Amino acid sequence: MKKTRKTMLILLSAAMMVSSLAGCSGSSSKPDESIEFTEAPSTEATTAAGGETQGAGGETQEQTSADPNGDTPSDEGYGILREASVNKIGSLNPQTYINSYSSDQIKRTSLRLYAYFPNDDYTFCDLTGELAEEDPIQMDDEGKVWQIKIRDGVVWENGDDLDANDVYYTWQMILDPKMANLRASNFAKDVIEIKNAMNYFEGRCSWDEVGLKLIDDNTVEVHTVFGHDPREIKTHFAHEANCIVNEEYYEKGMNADRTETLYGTSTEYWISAGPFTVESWANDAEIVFKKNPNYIFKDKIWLAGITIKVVEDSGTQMQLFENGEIDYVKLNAETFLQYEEDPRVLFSPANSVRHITINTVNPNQPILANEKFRQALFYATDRETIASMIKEDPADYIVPTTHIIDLENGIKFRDTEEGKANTHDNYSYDPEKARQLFEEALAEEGIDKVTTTMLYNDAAPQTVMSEYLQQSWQQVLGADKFEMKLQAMPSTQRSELMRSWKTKPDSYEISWGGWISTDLMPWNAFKYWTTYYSAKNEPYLSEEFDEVFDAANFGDDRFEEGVRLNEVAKMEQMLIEPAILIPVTESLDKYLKSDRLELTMKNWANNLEWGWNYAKIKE
Amino acid sequence: MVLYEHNKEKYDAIPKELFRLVQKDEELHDVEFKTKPIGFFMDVWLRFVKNKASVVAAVIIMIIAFFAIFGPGMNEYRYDEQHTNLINMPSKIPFIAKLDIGLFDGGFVLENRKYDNLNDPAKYPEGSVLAIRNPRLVSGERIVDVEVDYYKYMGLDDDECFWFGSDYLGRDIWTRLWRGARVSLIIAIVSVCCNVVIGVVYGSISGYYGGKVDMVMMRITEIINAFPRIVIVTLFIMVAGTGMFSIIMSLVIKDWVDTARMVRSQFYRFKGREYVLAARTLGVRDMALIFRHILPNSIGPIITSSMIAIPSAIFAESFLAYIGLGLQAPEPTIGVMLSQGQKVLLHYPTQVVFPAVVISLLMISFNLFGNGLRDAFDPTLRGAE
Repeated sequence: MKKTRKTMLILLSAAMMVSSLAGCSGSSSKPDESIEFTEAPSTEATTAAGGETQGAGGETQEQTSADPNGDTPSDEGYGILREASVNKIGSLNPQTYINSYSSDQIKRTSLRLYAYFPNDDYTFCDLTGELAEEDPIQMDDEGKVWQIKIRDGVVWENGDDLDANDVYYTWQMILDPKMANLRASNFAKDVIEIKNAMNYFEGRCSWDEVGLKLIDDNTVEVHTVFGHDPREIKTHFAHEANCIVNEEYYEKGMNADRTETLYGTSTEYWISAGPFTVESWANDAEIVFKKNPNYIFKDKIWLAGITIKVVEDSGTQMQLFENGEIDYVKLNAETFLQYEEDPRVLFSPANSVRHITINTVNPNQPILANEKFRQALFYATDRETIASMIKEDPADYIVPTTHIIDLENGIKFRDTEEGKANTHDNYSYDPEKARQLFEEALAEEGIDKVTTTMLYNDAAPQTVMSEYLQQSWQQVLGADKFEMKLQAMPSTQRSELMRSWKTKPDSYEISWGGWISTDLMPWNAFKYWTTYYSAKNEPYLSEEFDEVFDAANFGDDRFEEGVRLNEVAKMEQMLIEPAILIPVTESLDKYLKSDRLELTMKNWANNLEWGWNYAKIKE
Repeated sequence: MVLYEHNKEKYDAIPKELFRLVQKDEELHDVEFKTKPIGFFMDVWLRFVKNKASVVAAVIIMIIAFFAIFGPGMNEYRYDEQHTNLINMPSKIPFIAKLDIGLFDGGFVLENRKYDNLNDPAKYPEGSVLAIRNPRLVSGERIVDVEVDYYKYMGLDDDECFWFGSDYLGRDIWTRLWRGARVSLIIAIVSVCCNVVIGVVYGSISGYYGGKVDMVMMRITEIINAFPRIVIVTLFIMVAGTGMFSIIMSLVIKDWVDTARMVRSQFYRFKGREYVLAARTLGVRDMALIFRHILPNSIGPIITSSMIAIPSAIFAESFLAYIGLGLQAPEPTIGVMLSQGQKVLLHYPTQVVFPAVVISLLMISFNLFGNGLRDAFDPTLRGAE
């Protein structure tokens, strides 16, 4: 008996080994027309609906006529959207959140004055009032004073009224100098610059001097430094950092010194007003949202709720999807290879470009401040090879292809002559030029060899890109003259280290970056490189750049035809030519969605992507 | 005497002539051994070779050590040589592939492919498609899983191959695996040697002198032992940067404590023995007593514990590499390869299977070998854990 068991164990182990190593044997096979194709069980619903599918940027997405949702969404909604996320929600406080994942969840549960909604035919986004009743009203000739009317009858989750007083309280809190909120600078100066907001935040003036006024229970007024048009006012207040907070819960979580609040850190200190309410929240594990029957635009929400499981491993996420436990999954480079021809794959162009960032003020590495050295790295970067490995698009530019320069005509910046002028053959990969610049840089610095260190996240795709560049840069520039060491660390630790360059200039040498920006306002996307941006990664301080940025964003002639286009092209040039940063690839997210999930968006759209919040569940 | 006292008359009556001296004319000798004398280590060896599992383990260790030394040079690839157009290749060993047994033949299943593309020679070169599986309609599209000869699919010649496949940068896994095993073994052996040297000296002094010296020294070891390893590693990496030095030091700084305790206990066992007292009486100095007279008695347990410490060190190194605190790229270790392979386990299982097999064999073999040595050095401990 014992011997039999041993033999069984050995056989079982061998079988497991073999199955993992087994490839396929036998001779080659030809496609055979006699093969019968049957409907895959998971796709029945899709084909029964009889629609079409669509990829990024213009194809069509499946439509359905028969579904259990009815003709219009009910107050309770129908079906639960099940998601998995590698991220955890640190806080739902819109004034302190630290990553885009948190901001997505804040938008699901909070209200803003203005927000992006699907347009009537679900093909693009519309920027319209959410809490605001209508477009802002211009109160002066210069466009510096604006009044915003608040809708009547808006309530919090508990039934309390939500009116202009809440908006005013939110503004007071986000700019409170004692609170020192992370998102205060976003609010004070982004698309618009609110009069004296930054001065108040930095303790240089009183609240009365700030250009934010409460007119009555339904009206607030904003005074800006520069003249603006309504769209700019709306875009500014559509930022997730400007979501409205609840005074009662905000104060409940406030500490004695009034320097910190627990608002948004747990259900005890949270109240919703947005499309969904928080039903339960176990941080690091799961958050459950439920449709808010009191939401202003409840007729746009079909879902009864959303559950998000925290699943850090992408392989496990894939298994959950295959087991039908989640409704869509983001594909990484390896998984995408298995699904690249699957018609269910959805492409979602991310509105950011991955770039290499260089610490030019590092006292231990003066060569990083040498323009020719940075240019050498710029031209030594083989973007096409990197992009092919991580399944993204090569980019030797900064403004992503999704960014629209002319909203009325739908013209993308990269499609303009000015945009094309900033890209080069072979995506600027020119080893000869790189070597020549490198030699010149060495001669200027009077050194024979450069040894530098690249910091990177200990996860794909930065691992792949960093290890590839370590070798390819050495090959191009000469292993005897250039050596790059790699140092991996967790993402949050790396970000903190990079941002500490102001107090600790030797905090890093070379690392990675990528800013998500307003894709309908590419001129605003350059704020990250202005001298006054608070969370800068690169020590790039240029008054000349600030001037161009201010001209594009606040200049008197900015609405004239072609002005902003030229200024965007100029800002891009100012960053690329001296290789302040080295763009590498443009992110491209890939998703696989289950057939129980029907997207109402007909295509990927700026600011909405695939509109998961507006999807339907078919069961 | 009592017997004589009771029978005095009787014994006195015996005539003296009847008594004679025994052995007066002959010389007495010990009986000569018929066999050759066996020393301590020969005795150990004889006992060791009787333990079949330990012998097999020793052979496996030698084989892995052989490949760790010579394996990376057995093919044309360097450990850091990237082939960016040949990433994640399946394993292919030509002579096994010719046997046509479905193993190591470069086969791979491409899932979710459009059936209509199969006739496109630009996508599927002649002879690359081996079988078509699982035909189905997905969103109206004819979709199949295609078994391909991945090397032909990628347009490679028959003689081009990666024996154990390639990784996410197209680096040869065979070369990296054995170089990784070499690095893991070096780290393990160097750290264990350092532990033994520190532990023996520390434990000897503590055990020999005893009393307050012992009390203070043992409390110090307890303090050192209380620090979590991960904290020590992180501190070392912060101070000395990542690399072999940091890993070895992080393994040394805690692990010598066990050796020291074991040696101390041996000293407590032997320092009161008569031969030690005799040597001390004759004026032998402390250092000579420690290292000449007592320590040799501990050699068995020291060797045994060292052998058992090696797999622990390999595992600790792999664990550190797995959580991202190991050697920095492009240097491979088994832990780094496991960590990377685990991320693509579902798609390219060979990337985790080979390193997992090697580290498992190393761990099991060193443990069995260590147990065998322990039994050989001290048969009274046989079967003890």
